Order: sequence, then C-alpha cells, then structure tokens
Amino acid sequence: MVTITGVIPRPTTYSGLWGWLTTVDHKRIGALYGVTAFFFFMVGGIEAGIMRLQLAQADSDLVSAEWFNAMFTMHGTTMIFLVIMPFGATFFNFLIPLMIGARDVAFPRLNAFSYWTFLFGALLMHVGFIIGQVPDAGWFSYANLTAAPFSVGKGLDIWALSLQVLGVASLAAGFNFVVTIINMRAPGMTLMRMPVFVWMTLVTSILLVLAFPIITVALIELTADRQFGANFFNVAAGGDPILWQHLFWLFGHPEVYILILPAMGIVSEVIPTFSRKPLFGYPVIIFSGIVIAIMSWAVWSHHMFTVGLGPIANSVFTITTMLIAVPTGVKIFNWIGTMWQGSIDLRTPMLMAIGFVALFIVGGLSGVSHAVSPSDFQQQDTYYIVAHIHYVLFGGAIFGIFAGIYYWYPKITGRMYNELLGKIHFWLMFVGMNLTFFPMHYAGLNGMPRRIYTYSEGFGWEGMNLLATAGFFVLVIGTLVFMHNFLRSVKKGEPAGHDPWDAPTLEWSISSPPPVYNFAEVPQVKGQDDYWITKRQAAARGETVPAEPHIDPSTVHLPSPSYWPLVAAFGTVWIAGGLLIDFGWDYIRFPLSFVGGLIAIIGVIGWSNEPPAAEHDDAGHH
Amino acid sequence: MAHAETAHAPPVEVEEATTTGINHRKLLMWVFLGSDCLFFGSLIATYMVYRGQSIVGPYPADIVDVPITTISTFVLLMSSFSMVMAVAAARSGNQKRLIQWLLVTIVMGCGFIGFQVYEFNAFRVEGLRYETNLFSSSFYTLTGFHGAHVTLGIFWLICITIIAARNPAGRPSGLDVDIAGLYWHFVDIVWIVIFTLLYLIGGFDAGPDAGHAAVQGWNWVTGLVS
Amino acid sequence: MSSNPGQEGAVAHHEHESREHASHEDAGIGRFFFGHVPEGVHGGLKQYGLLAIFLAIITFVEFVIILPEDLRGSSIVIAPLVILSVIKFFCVVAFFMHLKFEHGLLWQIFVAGLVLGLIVAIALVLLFGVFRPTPRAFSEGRQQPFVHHVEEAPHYEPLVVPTPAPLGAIAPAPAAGAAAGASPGQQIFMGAGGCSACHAIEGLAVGALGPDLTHIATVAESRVPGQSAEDYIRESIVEPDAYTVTAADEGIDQDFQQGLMVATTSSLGLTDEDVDELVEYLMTLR
Repeated sequence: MVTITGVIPRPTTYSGLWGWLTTVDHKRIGALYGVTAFFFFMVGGIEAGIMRLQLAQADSDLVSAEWFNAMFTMHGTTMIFLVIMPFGATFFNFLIPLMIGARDVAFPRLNAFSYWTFLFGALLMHVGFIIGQVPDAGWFSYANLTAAPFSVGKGLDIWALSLQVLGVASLAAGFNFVVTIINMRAPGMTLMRMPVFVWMTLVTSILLVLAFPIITVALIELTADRQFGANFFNVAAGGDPILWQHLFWLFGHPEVYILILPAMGIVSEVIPTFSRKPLFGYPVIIFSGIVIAIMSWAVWSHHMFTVGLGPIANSVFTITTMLIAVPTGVKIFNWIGTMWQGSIDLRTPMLMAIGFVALFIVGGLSGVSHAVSPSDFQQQDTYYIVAHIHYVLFGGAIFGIFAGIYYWYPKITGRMYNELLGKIHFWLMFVGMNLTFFPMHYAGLNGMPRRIYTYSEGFGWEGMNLLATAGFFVLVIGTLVFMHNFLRSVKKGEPAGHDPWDAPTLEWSISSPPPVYNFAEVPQVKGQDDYWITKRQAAARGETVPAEPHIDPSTVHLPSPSYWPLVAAFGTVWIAGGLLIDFGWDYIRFPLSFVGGLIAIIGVIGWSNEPPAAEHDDAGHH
Repeated sequence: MAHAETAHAPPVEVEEATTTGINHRKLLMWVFLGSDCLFFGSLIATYMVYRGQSIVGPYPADIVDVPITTISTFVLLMSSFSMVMAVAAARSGNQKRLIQWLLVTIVMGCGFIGFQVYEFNAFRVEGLRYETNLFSSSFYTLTGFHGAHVTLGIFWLICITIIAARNPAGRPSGLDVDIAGLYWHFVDIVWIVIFTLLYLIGGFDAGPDAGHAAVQGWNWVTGLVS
Repeated sequence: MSSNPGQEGAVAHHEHESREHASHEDAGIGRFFFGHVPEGVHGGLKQYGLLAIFLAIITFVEFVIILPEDLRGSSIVIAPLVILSVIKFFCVVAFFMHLKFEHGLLWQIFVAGLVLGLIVAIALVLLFGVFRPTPRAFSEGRQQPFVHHVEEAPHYEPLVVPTPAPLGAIAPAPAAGAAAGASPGQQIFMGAGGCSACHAIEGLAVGALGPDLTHIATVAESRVPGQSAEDYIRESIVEPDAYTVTAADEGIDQDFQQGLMVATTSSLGLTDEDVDELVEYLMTLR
C-alpha cells in the first residue's frame, strides 16, 4: 500500500468541483462550514416549526407522538452539533490565521479532514429520515431509555454512531486550532496581544479536546450495549443509568461553553469596533474566559439535581454553578464598560452584539434561578428550562454568530450587505425570539412539561403556546430577509474596501476578500489592537493606510490540495455507517465496518506518503 | 519565526519555524496525549464505578491471572526502553541501530498483544464473555481499547521501520521517531495505571462466595514461595 | 529541544538534532536524573538502561507486595502500590518521553489533561460511593456465587422498576425473569414486545402504566359485548385504541390514556406470528 499510494501526485486544480473537494485553504473550508451550518440551521428550524405548529393549540394531532419525539431529538442534536458548533468552526477557520498573521492553519489537510468528516457525519445523522427510523430519545438520550428493549430500531444506533463521527471531526479541528494559535502567531503577537476572538477560540479548542473524549467513551458504552450486548446501562445486570447522565453532562456542560465562548469572542470584537474604543478590561475578559472554561468542569451535576444525588452533591453543585455566573457577569460588565461613553455606531453587527448581551443576561439570570437546587426541583423538565436554553443558545450563540456574519461579511465577500435589510432582520429576530421563548417561562412555571407532544385544554397553556408559535413565524420572516440580503449582496452589494469599519485587528489590513496567500508580507505586531496602532501612526504622519498590495501568488509557497483527507474522512464515516447496515443478516455489519477501516487506513497512508507539494504548483492561476 | 522565509521554500521537508520553537507535530502529539488522558480516565472511571457491582460471576478473583499479566506488563515496560533507544539512534542518524531497536520494540509490543489475546481467550473459556456481567463489559472495553492503541502503535512503528529500511533521504527524521515514541510511551503509562488498578488492586475482588477464590496461575507462585 | 528558534532558522534543523546527541556521553547519571541538564542532552544506553532496570525492579516489588494473601486488597497494600505506580508513571513521562527536558508548555498541556482526567475519574467514583468494591443497593443481596466453567452467558431480562402508579394500578410482587421453560408468548411479553414495561402480571411483571393483565383471559370475555376474549386481546395488541380501558372497568380513579399504547407499540415491529404467540400466552392468564 505504501508504494501504491506514494506515487499518486497531489492534485493541482484549484477551481471547479475538484478544487473544492481537494481544497486545504482555510478560507474555503471556512466557507464550506458556513454553508453547511446554515443549511442545517434551516433543517433544525423546520423541525422546530413542526413542533411549534403541533403545540399551537391544545389536543392537536398534526403529528404523532413518535414523530414529535423524533422532531425534538433531531432539532436539539442538529442545532447544537450541526449548526452552532460548525458556525463556530466557520469563524475559526476563516479568521484565526488572518487574525494571528499566518498563511494557513498548522495542519491544512487535517482541517479538510475535519470538515469532510463533519459533513459525512451530519448526513449520516439524517439517514434515519430515509429508512424511517429517526433517533427519538432526546438530544441527551438518557439511559436506559436508549437500551435495545426500549428503543427498538436503528434510530439510536444512528444517533450514537454519527455523533461519534462528529466527535472525531470536532477533535481534529480542536487539535488543529490549539496548535495553530500556540504556534503560528506572527512575530510580536504575544499571547496578551491576541484579539479576544483568538483567545476564546483557543479556550474553546482546549475545552473541545478535553471534553469530547468523555462523550466518546459514553457513546462507545451505549453502542456496546446496543450492538454487542454489553451491560453498562443494563439495570438488570447491576448497571447504572445515572452513569450515562454523569458522562454525558461531564461532556455536556463544557460543551455549553464550547457553544457560547466563540460567540462571546465575536461580540468582544464587534463592540469595541463600533464603540470606537478599545475593549474595556482586556486582561479581565481573557481571564474570565479561562475561569469559565476551568469552572465548566465543576458544574455538570446541576443538570441532575432531581436524580437523587443527595444533599451534599446537590449543595456542592449549587454553589459551583452560582459561582460560574461570576466570571460570566464580569464579561457582561466588560462589554457594557466598553460601550460606556463610546461613540456608538448602531450598525447591524453592533445591534446583534447588543442583542446578544441583553438576551444573554436574561438567559443567564434564569440559569441562576435553576442553579438553586430547590428551585430547580420545580423547574426541571418544564418549559422554563426550554426557555432558558433558548435564551442562552439562540439569544446568545445565534445572535453572536449573526453579529459575526454581518461584521465579517465585507471581509469574506468583498461587498457590503444592505444595512436597512440587516436592521430589519435584527428587529425581526429580536422581536421573534422574545415572542417565541419568553412565554415559555410562564408556561413552564405553570407546569407545562417539556417534550410532551400535546396537552389538554384547561391548564392555561394555550395562550403562551400560541404566542410562541406566532414568534416562530416572525423568526422565519427574519431569516428569509437575511437570506435575501446575503445572496443579493454577494453579487450586487457595494464594494466594501479592505477596512469598512476602521477595525483593530489584522484581517482588515489585507484586501477583501483576502488573497489566497493571506499576507504578502508577514506582519510585525506592535501591540494590542495592532491595526489601530498602524493607522494611528500613519494618521500622525498625515497618511492613510491602504490595503496590503497584491503579489504574484505563484511566488508564495502554499500547501497543495490533497485527495486524502476526503478518503480518510469517508473511511472514518463508513466505519460507523457499516455498523448500521444489515441487509437482513446481522453479521454483515462487521465486515462492512471493517471495509471502512481499510479505506481510512489507505487514506492515512496516502496522506503521510503524499509529496509535500504538487509538481506543478499553479497556486497563482485561478 | 520569520514566516517570510518559507515563501520560497523548496518542496523538501523543512521544519517550519514556530512561535514557541516547538514543532507543530510534536505539539499536536502532546495535545492529543492530554486529550487521550480524558478518554482513558473516563473508561477507568467506568470500571471503578462498576467495581464489585456485578451480580453474576466470573468475578475478577475467579479468573484474573496476576502473575502472567505481571510478565506482560514487564514486556511492555521494557518496550518503552527499546523505544527510547530507537529515538536516540534516530537522533544520532544511526539507521542500523534505529532499525534494530525498532524491531525489538515491535516484537515486544506484539508479545504484549499476544499475552492479551491469550488472556481474553482464557477468560472466554472460563465463561467471561463481553455480555456476561458489568465486570466483563467494563474490563474488555478498557483493556480492549488499550490493546487497540498498542496495535495502532505497532502498525505505526512497522511503517517507520519500512521507511527506515528503504532509507529515502533523511527519513525517518529524529522527529518522526520521537513522535511515534511519545505515543508508544503514553500507551505504556496508561498500562501502568491499568495494571495497578485492575490487576494488583482490583484483581482480587471476589464474588459473594469468596471462600473458593480461584487460584488460576497462582499455583506455581505459591508453590515457589512456600 | 531548543527554545530559541529565532537563531536556528529552518535549514539548521538537522545539524541541530545531531548536536543534541553529541554530548550524551558527557552527562553523568546523577546529573541526568536530578541536576540541571545541559540543553539537548537526553541520555544514552547507560542512563536509559539504568532507568529500565529501576522500573523493572519496581514492577517486581509491586508483585512481591501482593503475594501475602491476607493483605490483598487492604489499604496497607494499596497505598504502596499506588505510590510505586505513580513513580513508574512519572519516570516514563519525565525521562523516556523527555518531558523533563522539553518546553514548559508541553508539561502544562499534558498535566492539564492528566490532572483533569484524574479529577473527573475520582469525582465520578466518589459520586457513586467510595473507593471500596462493596456492592451497592441494587447488587447487594442479588450477587450470585460463581461456579466455574459456565459456558452460557447469562440472559438478563430488561428489568422494569415499578413507577409511581399514576393510574392507581396495583404493583404486584417483584419481577422474576422469564423462566427457562417460558412459552414463546411469555418471552415476547418479557422481551422483544416490551409489554412488561407497562403491564403487570402477578409474579412476573410489575409495569404500572397500563391495565393489569393478571386475569386478562377472564376479563376479556366480557369487556366488549359481542367480542370473544381472543379477538379482544388480539385487537388490543394490533389496534390498541379500538377500545381504551376505562376507570370503571378496572375499578381505579382514572381512565387509561387514549393513544398511549399506540405510541409505544407502533415501532416494535412484531410479526403476525409474534402476535399469535402473545395472544396464545395471554389467553392462559385466567
């Protein structure tokens, strides 16, 4: 095999389908992540819509109970693993090398591998819709509901195995960004000069590489139980379903911060730019981010107050959970302090960022209210929790992501979006979001349990549910406005110039969209908010700073495209996918899975034997 | 540090200068090992949580053969020594010694896997299948994934040996062997933990009727001592 | 490795590596293990060999420690075993993996993962009890002694814990697994059919969500006028909503919920033969 794979030269094409399939360019991979994440945002949104329509009135029979179970399971899984995380990866990929002054990430092919593995894993997750066996045990799939006798069919196998694959993709990306940020900073870019977004990416990536092995183990145990008859969560054999909850939330709580920290990083870039002021308390916001990451490991059992851990464990986790609100609150004050007495420019990114801060405060406060375990006993498994999670993940993460999309739109596409449509989008999102999720607080405290597919009249839940469903349609209109704005402006928007916001970070010093080689000359970083320093020094001399001039790309050595990440990713997914196939004969899944392993091994061998560059590197001719 | 230098770099393997001075791949390996600690940590935690909770036998004391596992532990530990000698040989550019030490390491790694295959088979014959009880599920999963790590390491070392035997210009570099070595040693230290917890301490966990705690493999040791 | 790449440049890499090796023989053993070691010195056969012998001795000592049968598993033995393995662990990490000589950042990264993994594992074990292999609530009293040379793996029936009965149903005696000679219908009831999750049969199943089936064959005769017991039972399995048991039927507070059973049985994939077996079995419950 060594010889077979060794002789295949690296691909040389940079355009067309093959160009995208074999690309290792971090900007292209970022774009792929973004498009995929937005696609699944719509899928998850449709699933949410089906649930909202079903619950709009009492005793509705629009969908069956099983279908409803499938909807809330896929909605949660999709939005967390296929939308918010890859949106984070979109920004990591596109921006991190630009922000730290690097040509690419440390391992460009590993980066491509992460994307393809993610995409295949995401598709595998949706195979259930084709074979009619959709995962339906909720996004945290508590044992022993997931045990073979209680979850018949392949739904839960699909869920466990594709989540495993998505974990591989996330781990690969996490390793890559840790190494990239530690090791590929431009000269002068010390740790305490890095933009906050880079810091939050580093913290997120470290959380990711430490937290994902735990869900990997949990999923291995679940898969072993379901596929190989192990006893991990088999109560009859003495197994303890609570172990699943512990393992899941040991991963799950750091995961919450994996979702929110990138958004916090984005907001920390947007607010100073549009307040015309450096970030207030830069070191404090960094350290609070690190403290959040460390403390996120000490709060997981607050998801489990009602399982009967006993008063000591409940008290400990109540205290740690209330403490983690402190560094989060510190960040809020940092952002408010940055805006304080700034000359605020209410462009769409800034509106989204302010929306993030406001809505995250609401979500944070309701979070503190169920940090108190006695009060959590009232709220557990009610719509109050649903309201809370959507305030932090929709009001928080999604608003942060949209702030980032609008903020970097001119850098990514080279054109301006339509400001008016952007503002309309923001207000529709803001109003729709509150209309959808605020009533859920009341419904929840009135006793409406989450995950019920219908409810009877007379509990006083009808009004709140109708409001929430109305809010969903406001969100739909807002998203349509965004799509129209986004697609139209790509072609017809005003040319943006390299630095439309007078922003402080390095990515704005190069032309928009960035050239394939990023920086013609590696920047020398002078301090925090380096590009502001450059522009201020130039202004003192009475000059303006133009975009960095273009050079002939063929003079720059860039990583060549490669087929192998695609092959290795396909093999990796096939290991999992093979286990799902039986053709009526149960044992066929083992050889099929083994074939996937062989493909992955061939991919890895080809990968490591590949020549370092294509023979005729035509990087410049595209 | 100066990225500009790489702008015209020829397409030969040149180590890129990095911010911290640590090679990218080496840093990656250490981050991976840090991450893998959590993987094995969770598997070991599962084993420890379920320790003593199985409701049917065989229980560890009925079948675990500590003496023979002590030998396989010794083999794996010594393979770490030969691995470090291989790294030293690679760093001094001594291809012949490198290949010799790599082969020694591979043989010892295979020996360890051989012991594990023997052990698993002996357990199966005694009635400990994967689905038998909590002990079997958590034991086979933990040691099985460790064995998979060792197998992957053997495969990796074989690839390096083949490359070294063909010796295309300058490969494998000292760094290539070094990184494989880091992985190999990590697998060894994980086994140090597993051996202590599952064999030396947990190997004597007995079922409810502890009177006839099995002495498989202990016979010859007790004979020797008394 | 060097920490001053600025002076190294890319080309000097290989020279740099061989320079590291050149000074191996100069490093004294004591200085190698305990003292300040000149940059780039890692060690040679002598140092590594001594370390390997040291590790082998520790392993042998560990083995000797567990020889006295009376002490096995006691803390007198566990404490030195843990200490010795920690020493082995750090020797391999520090010297074989060269971490003692590496950039401090690598220490931090590895120790972060190591410490976190340790804390997570300890916290989990503590949350489930203490570090003692004594059976907890469920396993205590259920553990069976082991008889050697059992070829067959045990078959665990899914165990259904009585739920607080919202419907006022009475939970009978604790579940007993399906007996070895159970009829195929009973096996489906307890296993693939998942019936026992919701229905009770005295002495066999304790499910409390649906009607008690202890005397279903008798009850079914008169439940729907004009329908035979067998037809009623079959219909209740195949089309549960055709007739939903009321509070009056069972003498309890509340009607059973319409649609509840449809929701749980529709994905089971029972064949016609399975249903026949189930009906046959249920008809025996008089």
